[in-house]
Amino acid sequence: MALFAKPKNVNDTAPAQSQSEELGCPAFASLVATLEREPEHKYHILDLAAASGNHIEFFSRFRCRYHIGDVLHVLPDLSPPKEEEPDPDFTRILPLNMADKLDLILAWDGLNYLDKELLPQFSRHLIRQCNPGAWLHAFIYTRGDMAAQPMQFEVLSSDVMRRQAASGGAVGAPCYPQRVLEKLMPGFRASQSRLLKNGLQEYLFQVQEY
Amino acid sequence: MFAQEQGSCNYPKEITMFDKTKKETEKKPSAPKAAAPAASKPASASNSGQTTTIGSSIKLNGELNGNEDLLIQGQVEGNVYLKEHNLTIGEQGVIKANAFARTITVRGQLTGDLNGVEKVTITSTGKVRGNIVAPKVILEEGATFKGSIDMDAKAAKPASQASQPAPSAKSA
Repeated sequence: MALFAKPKNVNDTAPAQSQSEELGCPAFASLVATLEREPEHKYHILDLAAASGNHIEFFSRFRCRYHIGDVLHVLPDLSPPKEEEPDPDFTRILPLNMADKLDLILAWDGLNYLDKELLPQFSRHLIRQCNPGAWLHAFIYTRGDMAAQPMQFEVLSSDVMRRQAASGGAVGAPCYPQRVLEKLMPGFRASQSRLLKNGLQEYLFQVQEY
Repeated sequence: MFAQEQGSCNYPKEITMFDKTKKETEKKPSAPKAAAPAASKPASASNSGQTTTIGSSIKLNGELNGNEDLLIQGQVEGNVYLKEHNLTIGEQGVIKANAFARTITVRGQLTGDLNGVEKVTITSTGKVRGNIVAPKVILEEGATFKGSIDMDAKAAKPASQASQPAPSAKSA
């Protein structure tokens, strides 16, 4: 197990992650059920992935404002600053200037690709724009390698998704345990955590009251 | 999420060019009236069925307020109001405008906010940066969009369909 391996060096000889795979997502299903319990509530949702007709269509069942972050492809290239270098400016990388605070952030598998040292800064950037009790849904690899770039996720139903690798090649997955992840993401607490059969851990984090 | 861009209102000059691009199939001599700006006059569906084209060589600054469908292949800066009609940004269209129409289809480039009474569609060739308000939004595979989408599910579909994603969904 490549515990805390930095997901930087692409190993072309390593077997790439399965090109397309369906996976269950029970935590996402319970999140959807929770959202459906308040049909009159208008939710503010941030999708960190690029604009996807599938995601938009799925969430169109809710009254919501759906923000496209389109930042996942950038995360693998961010590295912690060396001496005298400025930190990456997340206010520029992911501007969150919306008037209303967020109720849900969809991170898909993007958190695996952000350098461990930058995760606290990134989560602080997100949490500033979140309502207390807001959710963050994410998949975290628990073993071995992961695709060199964040995968594309398609929502087939509230409890089934399909993930698809964008390109070949694999990198070591950071394989964060839950307690480490919570330490790296101050303010977020795992309210649900499910180990899926393919080795992905599905998390539903919630912003702690502040 | 993004700043709105406003164009200057010097439309009388441009409207002449605007009308010249009308399709030849439109025989109606009063066509210029339909394209003329009428900022305070609400649009009606009386001229539905007609489509005006702003050709690819046309550059237009100002406010468009029309009473028929509009296809933009040129460059437009400003605001476009087609309350009860359809707006299409053609593949050659480059728009910096806020648009309000019954349906809006973007095949070209648009920077600005879109308000579709029924539907906004961004096709595979479309590139949009701005915010969308519409009960139904369709992003075709390959479409580029950055911004936010304000959706109201109740207006988009009957409650009986609310538990299943629509089969017409297309993934980007």
